[in-house]
Amino acid sequence: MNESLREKLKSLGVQLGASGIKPGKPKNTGKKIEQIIDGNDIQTPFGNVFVAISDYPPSYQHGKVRFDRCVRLKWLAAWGKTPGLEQNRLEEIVFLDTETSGLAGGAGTFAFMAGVGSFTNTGFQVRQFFLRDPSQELPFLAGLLSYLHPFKTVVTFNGKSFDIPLMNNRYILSRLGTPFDNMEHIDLLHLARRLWRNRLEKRALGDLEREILNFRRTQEEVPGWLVPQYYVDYLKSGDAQPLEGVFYHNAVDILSLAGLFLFTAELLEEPFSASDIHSLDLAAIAQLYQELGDLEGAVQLYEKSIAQGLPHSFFLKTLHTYGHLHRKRGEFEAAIRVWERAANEGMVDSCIELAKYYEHTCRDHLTAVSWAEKALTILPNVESSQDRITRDELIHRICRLRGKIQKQESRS
Amino acid sequence: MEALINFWKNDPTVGENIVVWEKEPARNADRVPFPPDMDGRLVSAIKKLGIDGLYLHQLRAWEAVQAKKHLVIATGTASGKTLCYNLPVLDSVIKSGLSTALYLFPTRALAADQKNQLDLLIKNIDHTVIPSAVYDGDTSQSNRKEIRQKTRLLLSNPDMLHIGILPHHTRWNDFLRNLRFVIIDEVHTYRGVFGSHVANVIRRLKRVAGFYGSSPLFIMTSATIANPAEHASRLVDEAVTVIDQDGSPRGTRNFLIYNPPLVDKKLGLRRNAGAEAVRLASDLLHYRIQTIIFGQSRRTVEILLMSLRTQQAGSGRILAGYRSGYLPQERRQVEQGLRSGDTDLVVATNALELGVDIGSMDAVVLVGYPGTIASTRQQAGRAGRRSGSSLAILIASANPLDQYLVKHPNYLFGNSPEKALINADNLLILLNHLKCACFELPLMAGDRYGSVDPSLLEDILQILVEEGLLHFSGGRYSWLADQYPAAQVSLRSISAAPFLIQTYQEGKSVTIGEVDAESAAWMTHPEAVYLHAGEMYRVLKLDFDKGIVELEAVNVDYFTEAVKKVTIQKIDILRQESVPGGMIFYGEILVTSQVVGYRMIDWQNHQVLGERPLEMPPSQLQTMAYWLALDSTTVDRLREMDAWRNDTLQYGVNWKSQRELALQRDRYTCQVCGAAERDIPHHVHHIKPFRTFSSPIEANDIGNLITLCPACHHKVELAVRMKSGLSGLGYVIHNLSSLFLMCDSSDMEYNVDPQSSLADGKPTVVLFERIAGGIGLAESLFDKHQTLIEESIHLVQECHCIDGCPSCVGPAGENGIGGKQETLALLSFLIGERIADE
Repeated sequence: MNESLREKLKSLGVQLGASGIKPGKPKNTGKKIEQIIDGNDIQTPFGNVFVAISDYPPSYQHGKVRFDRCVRLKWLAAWGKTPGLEQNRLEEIVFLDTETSGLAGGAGTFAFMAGVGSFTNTGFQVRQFFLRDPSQELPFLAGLLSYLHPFKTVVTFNGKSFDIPLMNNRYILSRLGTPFDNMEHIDLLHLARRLWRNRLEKRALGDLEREILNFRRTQEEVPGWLVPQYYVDYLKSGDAQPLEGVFYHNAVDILSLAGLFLFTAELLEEPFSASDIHSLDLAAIAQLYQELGDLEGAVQLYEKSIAQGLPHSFFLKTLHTYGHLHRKRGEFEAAIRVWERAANEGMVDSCIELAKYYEHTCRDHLTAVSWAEKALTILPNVESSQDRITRDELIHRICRLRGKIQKQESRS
Repeated sequence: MEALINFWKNDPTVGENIVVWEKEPARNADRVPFPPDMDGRLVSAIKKLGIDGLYLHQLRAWEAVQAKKHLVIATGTASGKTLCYNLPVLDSVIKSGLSTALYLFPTRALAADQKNQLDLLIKNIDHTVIPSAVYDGDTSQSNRKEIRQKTRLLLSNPDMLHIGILPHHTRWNDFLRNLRFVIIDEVHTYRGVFGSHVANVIRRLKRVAGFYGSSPLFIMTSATIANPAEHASRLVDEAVTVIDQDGSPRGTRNFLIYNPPLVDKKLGLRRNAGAEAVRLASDLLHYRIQTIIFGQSRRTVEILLMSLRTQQAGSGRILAGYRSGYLPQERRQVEQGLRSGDTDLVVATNALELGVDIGSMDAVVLVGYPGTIASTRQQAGRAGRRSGSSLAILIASANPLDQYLVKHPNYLFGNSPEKALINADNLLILLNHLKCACFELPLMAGDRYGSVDPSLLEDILQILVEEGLLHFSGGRYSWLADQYPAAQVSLRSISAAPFLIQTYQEGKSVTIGEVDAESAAWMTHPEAVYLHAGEMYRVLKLDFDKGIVELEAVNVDYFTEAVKKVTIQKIDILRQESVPGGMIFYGEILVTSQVVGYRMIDWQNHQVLGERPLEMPPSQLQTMAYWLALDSTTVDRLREMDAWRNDTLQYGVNWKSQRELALQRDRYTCQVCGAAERDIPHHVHHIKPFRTFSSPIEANDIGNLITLCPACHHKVELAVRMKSGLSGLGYVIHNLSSLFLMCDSSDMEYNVDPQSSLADGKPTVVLFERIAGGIGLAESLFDKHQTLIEESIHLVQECHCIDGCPSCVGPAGENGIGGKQETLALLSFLIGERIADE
């Protein structure tokens, strides 16, 4: 019956693989998960779920981050707009990373592993919930749900667009109710972008792990894009051996997530005294401080970053932004100084700011027009549409200024 | 209106040509008071719109909903169907506050129009905020989240439901949990293959709604089809009540069939239907009667519009055109103009058939028969105010089908309209949607999917497991693949995006319209004269890669007609079988259509001014087909059959001279065998039959004449006769196939060839699937061949017509002998026994 249906579908043009490949009933030759990973079955009201637990001592060091750091979370909470975080004890924070059946999204994608990490009074613990089989999703989700209950904040990397919506989907489909509605959420992907957009071209967790944390993975590692396939193969063949690498991959993701959390928390709290912060990072933190309201701190950071030396184009941009900070604080002379410095190094926008300042605040039209004309000479010849607009505006400004100058002269 | 009717009755140039005048008497509204269980706030809101009671059918709809019965409302156009569903929905939302409803419309334009109507009602309900929203491909990303979370009434279409909503149903959990109603508008459009897809989307919707604990009530509307209850029932897999007694008021409705007068009694040639329409339209406009003229093709619409504009120049009347290819905002403007009464006359294609609310017209003119009874009723149904008389006129063209109706008007009035058919269990369609369903919610072993046979379901799931798409364990089929199956299925078989039609205005390209990719090659080929909203343009360039047609405005006195060549080639024969009379085949074919040139035709006298070749890319359809070839024994015996009655037709005043010209051009040599004329004079033959032209001048155009020796002429006429029989056979099999396959007649196409390359030159009838690659329809026909022939014989024998009619073999052929005899002769060979023609 099946054969003729296959033939029929093929004749309708459906691409089918060679028939005769029977679906994998787990062969007895393959290793079971218990034989590969050190874990236990945990009971839930719906059945058992396999969980692997690894404990790390307080002295554990992940790359260059020591896990016994004491950190204050004030700045992280301010950036993340998660006020509760500031008061959290470290033990109330959970680090989450999932491994899924694919990236397609929608109701058909599920998580087969949920890795959660947390600080305990004995160090750091990584707990990995594993879905032995898709039909056992209920105990998997229930076990995770019950474990997550006491935590107040969840930290992820790209969880806002991926992991959390996916898990919420699964919780809706299983009718269990989601644990995440009552938690605050910190997604470090977005912070990484703020801090390292200029310095690092790629900012995936693996890149940050290498560049920021100085951590190298071992050979056990399975790259992320292969993970879904490994799980599918395991389901078909029943052989759990290859999953060892997946557990490793997930565990290191959790550790790096926690490491990154500690690192950035400290970076944001203590950017002044640390000696090894890259100048571009200082500039980024300065901007962050400015946005979050600590203008004095921002000024200090800008000074420090400029003093350390910045690559040229970032230098100009940073100076320019710094100038605005001074202006915001009403420190006009400081603003002028900074802008003049930038303008003399070829920063068009700063010239324009100076022209504006001299025209409207000082009523010194001569100086204003000289800055405007200087800007015009700096504008690149190869024009983008933005440059064209700027050029037009400058010409307009110069005309207007010249007009005012003439009027003044004719009066006097 | 009365004045016009009298005028026409008494005018000899008009009155005589009206062959049929059916009057439907006025009827009063069947008004009933608002039902007591309808919420007071809703009643007040409706009263504010000027409505102080319900029509009987609206009450019946209300009652059916209160009794929790699924229903389909099949009353006519403009009968107030919208209130039939909006009232129960709004009542439920007002009372419960949480209820939600999903509205499905076949087009975005309809959805937008309905949203406006809904908003109007909601606005008037005191103290209630009911969020409603249109959700389709055009909805911006930033709005989507809010709509998902807040809206109670969602207006969308089946395509969006299929690809955007169902696969992400968890994001809609609040909406689905409270889903009380699903409104499906214009269900008659969901027929054939498209309808089978939609039926499966509904199956998936019911599954997903059931997951959230909802079991919504389906309220559907349909235009006039023969089987509204049956069709609606198949679409949603539920028992459906039908409400078809229209309680809305009607003025007197007049339905006229008008046959253009003979220009030559002896030859039976008539005036052009379009010209007659223009003439009648001028009377209608003079009497200020708001009118729609339906043309049966885009070109007809444009030509009519141009002629009318010329005729009405300076009269102050507002005319507009309406067809696909105009920009959406232009179409909205025309709809608005009709509603408000500012526009006096619109010339439209059947694009205006679908329910967009334009109010009711006083008069509708149909130029040529639309092809189905259902379409005729839809178009005619656009006329008909609440009170006062209205008018619908069908102007017959020279087409044999139209002339058949003139002689047998009962075909139109006595017959019920066509049936709508779907097959939701078509294997390929089912497979694709099952994938989507498993993606949405895992299937448990033993679960049902719609009404699909459980063991077939299990087999299909098993194959999906073997293909690695599903994982079966613990009695559960889980979706495993990293794929989004809904993206691989298109509900409609429209392939490419439309081409943009552009002109230069003030140095910039302006898009004035669009044309679908399929039509672009023959409607807007380079050098084509293209008409748009009555303006004349010529095509400068047709860019296939960019999908752009460049035009320049022109003013010439000719129009163009593409010359298309269609060839059918065999790719592969998969199955073949001997049958009485010949052989049947099932296999893969390639249908190539190519525009090879174009003709320039004079506006006024329709003379062919010239023909130019064109190099255009062919469009190809690779698909599955079933074909039937006659064997040589059968052909010989047909040849021996007598009764070749040749009417001594006269061919008009210029026949003699044209005939002479043709003979001279061809040097008195037979153009087929090369034989020179000797004792017996050669014949001159009309390539396209004489009767199909509307003037002898056109028919006798030298390009249509060919010199043949008597033997070849006999062969050619035999071929014509053979073709006539084959055509009849093809026509009847095609008719029957929709019934057997539960598809729409547009899902299959037929072609006949007395010398087909599909069967080594034998006379062949081929039926092929319009969907590339086929979905199993052709093979079913192959399997059912014996039954097809038997049923064809029954159909043709039992038909009361003499020579053939649209219900059996098609209307009578050129010589008046008709395909019926020929077809029966063929059928007798195909069944292997002699059959009598009753």
